[in-house]
Amino acid sequence: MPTITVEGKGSFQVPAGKRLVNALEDECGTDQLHACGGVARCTTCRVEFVAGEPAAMTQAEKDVLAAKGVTTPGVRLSCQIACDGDMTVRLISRFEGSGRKDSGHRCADEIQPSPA
Amino acid sequence: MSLLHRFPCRASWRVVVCVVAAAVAWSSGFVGADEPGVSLFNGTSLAGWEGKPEFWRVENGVIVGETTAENPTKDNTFLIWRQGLVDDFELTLAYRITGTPKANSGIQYRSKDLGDFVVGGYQADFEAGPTYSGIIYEERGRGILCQRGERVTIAADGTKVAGEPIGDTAELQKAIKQGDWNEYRIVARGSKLQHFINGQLMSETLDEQADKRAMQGVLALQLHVGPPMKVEFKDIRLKRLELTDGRKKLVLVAGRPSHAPGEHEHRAGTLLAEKCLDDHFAREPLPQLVTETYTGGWPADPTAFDNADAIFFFADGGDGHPVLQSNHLAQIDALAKRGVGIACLHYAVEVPKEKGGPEFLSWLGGYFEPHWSVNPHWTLAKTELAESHPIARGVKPFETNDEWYYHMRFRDPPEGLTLLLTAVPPNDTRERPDGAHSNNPTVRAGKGSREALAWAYERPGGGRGFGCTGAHFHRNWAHDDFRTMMLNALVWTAGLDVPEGGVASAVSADDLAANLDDKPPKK
Repeated sequence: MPTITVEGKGSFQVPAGKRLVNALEDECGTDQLHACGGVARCTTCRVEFVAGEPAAMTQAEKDVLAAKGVTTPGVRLSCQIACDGDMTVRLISRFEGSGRKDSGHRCADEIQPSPA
Repeated sequence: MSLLHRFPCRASWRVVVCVVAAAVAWSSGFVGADEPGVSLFNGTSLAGWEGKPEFWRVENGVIVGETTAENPTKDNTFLIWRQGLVDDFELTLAYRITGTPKANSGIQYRSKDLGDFVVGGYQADFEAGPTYSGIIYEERGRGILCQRGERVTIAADGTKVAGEPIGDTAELQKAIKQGDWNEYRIVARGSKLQHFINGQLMSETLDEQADKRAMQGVLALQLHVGPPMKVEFKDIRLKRLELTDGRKKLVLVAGRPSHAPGEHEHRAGTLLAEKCLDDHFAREPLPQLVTETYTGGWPADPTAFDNADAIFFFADGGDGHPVLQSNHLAQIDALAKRGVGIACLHYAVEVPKEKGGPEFLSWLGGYFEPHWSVNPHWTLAKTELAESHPIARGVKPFETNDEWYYHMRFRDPPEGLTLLLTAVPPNDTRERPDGAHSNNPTVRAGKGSREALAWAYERPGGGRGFGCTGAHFHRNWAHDDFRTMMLNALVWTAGLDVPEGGVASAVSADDLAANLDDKPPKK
């Protein structure tokens, strides 16, 4: 079972394979944004990896990061990542201070769109 | 603290006291420092425990929690011990976990029940894999608080400070028998939390983050979301520990439903008093009073009184008094003899003269004795308070209408006894026909006399008692002076100082309406 460490918050045990965006919300208790509902459209679910960044990237994540011009190293979409190992992330897109009415509707259990 | 520390014994008879204390400890369920505790699992059923039945069962004398490919759990789910809460304690149990290395479970303690068999709080973690067994994890909270092999102090601001390491985590893992039975022991004493597996200390946490930590809560066993897994538990034993750091524990026992709505509201009154006390002490950096309420009469929790400093009974009395059933009289008498305070309210001050009378005189200094005491309804008049007594702090003389029993039987001579609340009953209350509760020649002859309605008692051997005859009507809990007197009395009986100005509290209409028993309307 992987440990997800959220800088400034703590380290949390997360079921292996769980979507990072959902783990950030459920196990880690953060207010991570996911405005589009986890379908790789909006990039508000982005986090910055401090350690444990997965090498693999879904085609949808590649496409939307490119389209939105997100090029900062280590910045990834938590809706496109499964918790398959220990990770340390920094929250860079939170509900608090966002001015939005909510964090976004609940993301599905499986990565969407299905990885190519 | 050992059992003997409760006795203000002199050296010349210390040996005798040791023997008596050991017998008392055995008979009362109280356990000493080296004893293994009280079993919380009967080996045959989940009596006292509650979880989702599709995941938990008893098989071959052990509790089994299991998920399968066909019957997975979407979220972590818990089997919750329903008989009581835990505060300071030692818990030992045997566990076996099987499945993939991802199989994970744990023992929740001092946790919050979040509904639908989800809990959050401290968890003594263990797994089939090699990493997490022995750590302290805060479920639905701060996450990993202390890794295996670490000693960690969590400061008030949440900062973690590492202490002297226990050892290398990989080495500590070798003490654990994977796929086989292991013994887990949790020692939670105040803010210090220790986890042992097979006798080996695995992690030690000092949690000083007052706004996040928990000092009391539910005990539960975890079944973790993930691949199919099976976890088994047996030999679950709880030993409550005497509270440290100057804290005291008050156990409140609310009797079963009785009388018409708004009368003898044992549950509502007791929980209201508990809420007021908890609200008061929550303002303290380290709450001095820990409370635990058992409703529905005598607690099913076999450890309910084991680390109590005081016990409060608000229940129907007489022959049906909870302390007169089974072996309870001897159990409470043993506790009183080791200094545990006893407070009784309204009908709970009454026991038969022949059964319970002598004990009540020694515990409380007084009681309602049938054919001697009486139970009229009247409004207090010419009320006086024993102003120098701590229980009277912040209380002004008051005039509530209630079923104020009077003419109690008190100790004679009255050393140690303080008549806290007195008033002069109207003469017509002394003109009722004679009967076990209504009148008798002595009461009839006392027209115009002042009577005691609440009293405090300091036992010569240590320990405190309190009795109050009012509270037939639930509405009187809304009266500030009555309520303050009661709250002060509970604090005092537990052995704490009553604050100057008394225990401050406020009661809303919603508070007063909460927890009322479901009773048929009065005919």
